Amino acid sequence: MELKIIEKKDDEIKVEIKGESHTLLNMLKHFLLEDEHVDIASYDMLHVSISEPVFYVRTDGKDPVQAIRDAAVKLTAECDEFTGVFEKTLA
Amino acid sequence: MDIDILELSDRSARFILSDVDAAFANGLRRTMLADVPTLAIDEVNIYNNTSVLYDEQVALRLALVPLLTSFDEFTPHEECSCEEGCPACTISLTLSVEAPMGEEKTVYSGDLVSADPKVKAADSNIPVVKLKGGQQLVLEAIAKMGYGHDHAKWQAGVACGYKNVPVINIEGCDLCEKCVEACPRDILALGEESAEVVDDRLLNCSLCKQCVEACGIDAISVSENDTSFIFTLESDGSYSAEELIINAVNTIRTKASTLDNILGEL
Amino acid sequence: MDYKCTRCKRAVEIDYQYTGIRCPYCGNRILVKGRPTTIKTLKAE
Repeated sequence: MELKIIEKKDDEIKVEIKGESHTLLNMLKHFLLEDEHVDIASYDMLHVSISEPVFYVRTDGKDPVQAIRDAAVKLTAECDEFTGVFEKTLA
Repeated sequence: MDIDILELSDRSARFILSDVDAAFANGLRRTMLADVPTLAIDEVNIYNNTSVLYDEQVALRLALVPLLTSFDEFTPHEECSCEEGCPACTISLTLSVEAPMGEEKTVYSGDLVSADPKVKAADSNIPVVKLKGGQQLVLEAIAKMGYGHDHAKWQAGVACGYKNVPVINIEGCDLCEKCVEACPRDILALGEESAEVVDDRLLNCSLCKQCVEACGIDAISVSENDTSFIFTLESDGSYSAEELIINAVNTIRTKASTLDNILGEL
Repeated sequence: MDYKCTRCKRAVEIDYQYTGIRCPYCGNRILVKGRPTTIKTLKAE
């Protein structure tokens, strides 16, 4: 994974996330939209096989980088919860 | 989040994942299909091939053989610090078969001998090529760890999918039995006062809504639960179904924490 | 490159000065190219 910041303001960010696909980005978008400080969170791939996805976040003033980090932490927590529940179910 | 395991065998699993969003369920499905790294033969050094197949065909057939993989022992080749391939991302397997004169012999995936006893063909009975008497196939195959999004030979999960848990509501039924006859999966049966869902058959509902159409008085409604999913998955044999699920979740977690770390360094 | 005569099975050197192809031992005109003894490396995909 490699990030390339295309545009960054106080309340918005446009970042290219190299090597990622819908798998991570759709989950990330979902957790970002759960954040009440986030107004817009979306991503775009110009071409499915040759373009790198560009992620766009706009907030109501919250640092957008922090918003993405919070979403990533939420996703990590969701994974931890899944592993925990799954192992408990198997036991 | 809640998980209810319906079936769990070595190669396949079926479970209900509830109280999660579609985004997570879909992420999990996509990860199992394309982002869990496995070992597969990527390079073949052919010493001798007098079989009827071209070298390239033999190589492709070998590449598609699923190999038992230990997730933690290998690094995907593209993320490895080496360029040419090293013991951390590659493993060598050899194959040497000659059909005795006047006899036919089939080369099976089980004839691949690896340097590491833990790495071997997940199924030993996959035919590779049939040799006639005197024909010979001698080669060395280099297996590398890779991702399913680069080539299907690295796909760990096959036939991974989910559907929403069906919700069937029956209210004001007049016991006309039309819905029971309409249902192609025998989910409904007549009860004392109204048509009812047969115990344990609910999950077989395909949401075809033929019962809704058949009902003349709109007493039945079929919808789906947006936060519960019936997951079905099959592993190609490189991991057990259980390992596949855990590896998929670990892969997502690694991706999320990598993103968090990179953003933290900005 | 090694060639082999399909009739007498002997290894044959091709004489490029001569415009035709012919086995110098038996006169057969069908020769087959043998598999080289080098190791062939290829990508499996």
